[in-house]
Order: sequence, then structure tokens, then C-alpha cells
Amino acid sequence: MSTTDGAAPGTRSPSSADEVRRVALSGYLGNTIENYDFSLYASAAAVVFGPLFFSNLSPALSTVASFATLAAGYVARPLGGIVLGYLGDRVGRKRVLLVTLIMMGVGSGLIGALPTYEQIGIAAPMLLVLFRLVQGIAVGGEWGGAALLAAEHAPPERRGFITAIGQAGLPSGGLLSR
Amino acid sequence: MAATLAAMLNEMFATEVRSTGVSVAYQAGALIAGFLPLTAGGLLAAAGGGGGGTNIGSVAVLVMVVSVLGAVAVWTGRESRGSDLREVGGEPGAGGQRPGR
Repeated sequence: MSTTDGAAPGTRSPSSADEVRRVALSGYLGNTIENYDFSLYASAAAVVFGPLFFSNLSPALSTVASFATLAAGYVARPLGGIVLGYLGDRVGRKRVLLVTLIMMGVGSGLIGALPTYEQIGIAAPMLLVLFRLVQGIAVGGEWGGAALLAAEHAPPERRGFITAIGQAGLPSGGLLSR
Repeated sequence: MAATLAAMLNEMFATEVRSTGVSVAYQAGALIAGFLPLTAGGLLAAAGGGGGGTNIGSVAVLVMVVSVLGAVAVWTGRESRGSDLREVGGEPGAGGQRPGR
């Protein structure tokens, strides 16, 4: 059994200090990147998504519709937690963490590349919601992957500190997105 | 709170179900949290529309209630600092979780 996939911590020897540092750093960066992308959507929803994707509505209504797409991401998070959390138990935490980071990158990139309502009509806001759901599923699976990798690699007496490094990534990502 | 949450959740579940347990617990909270801005906005609108003279007390009460719920949940939980993650759930009463096999 591989000692680096994190799928079966009960069967391997304790992680080296170097390994623990690497896992803590990857958890921190994972949380930073995911939360950056996920939060950045809020700023975009407040400023540009209304005019871009709901230009047929009044300004007030388009703002409400824009924020509804924001909420779709939060609705998708438990789905990501259930599906990707289960996969974390089946195929490994590390693999799930990697997949969620790629999912988030692809989802955010495609949102940035979307044509507007003026260009392709109703398909534009529908695709926006779809990619927001992808973002939500990714963020829903990523947190567990990062938290478990950190907790399972850390020596028991330092588990709180090591997992907290990953947790610090959440506000770091939020800060970067402002 | 966020600093200790990851360690605490991890110490509640046996290895075989840890990923599922931790992810579902945390993201279920996020689902509720996602609707709080909407709820708070609704409360403000009901209290006078969010202008200068609006009473924001209802939103403060909402935050207080949620905080108290969280405090009760943590208070009634078990201290698991320094525990061996491989043994979680292996003995009766440990976190309420049993290994799947």
C-alpha cells in the first residue's frame, strides 16, 4: 500500500517532520485557493453578474437573481461533502483533494470565459449556475480532504496546530478575493 | 473557533468513515450558513428597510442564537485532545462511531 495517498493511515508508520510540513502547507494553499475562488464570486455577483447575465431584468431584480446564483454554490456544498467525502474514504483523501482543486480551477475559469445574456441569451445565466454548482461541489469536497490529510499526518500532540494552519487558509483566500 | 474545528471533527470519526463524516458535518453547516445573509436581509427589511433608522437588533439576536447553539454542541461534546485517530470508535462510547469493518 502506498504510504503517500493518505487512504489508510492506520497501516503506515508516523509521518516525518518534512512530510507533516508539506501536508500542512498543501492544506493551507488548498483552502486559500478554494476559498479565494468561491468568495471572489460574491464580489463579481455584486458588481458585474447582474448587468452581464440578467440584463433583461430591472437593476434591483437582476441583483437579486445574481445573488441567487451565489447561493446555488452554498446549496451544492453539502452535495460535494457527501459525494467527495465518501470518495475520500474509498479512493483516498489526497486524490480527492487534487480533483477538487482542478474542479475549482476549471469551474472558475469557465465562469470567467462565459458569454453574456446579450450574446447567447438564456443559456448564459444557466451555464453560470451550472459552473457555480461545480464551484460549490469542489469547495464541499476540498475542505474535508485538506482537514483529514493534515489531521492524519500530524503527531497527536500537534494535531490542533497542524490542522489550524490549513484553517488559516480560509480567511487568507477570503482576504485575497476582496 | 475555525482553528480547532478541523482537529475536533477529525477526532470524532473512525478512519473508515472519517472523510464522509467530517465533510458531511461541515458542509451541512455551510448549507444553513449560506441562507443567513438572505435571512438577515429579510429581518432588516421587516424592521424598516435597512436605512439609517433601522433597528438591527433582530439580526444581532439571530447571531446570538446561532452562537449559543454552537456553544451547547461543543460543551456537550467529548474532549479528544491528543487521542490516537486509529483508535477512535474502536472502544465503546468513543465518539459514537464504530469502524465499518
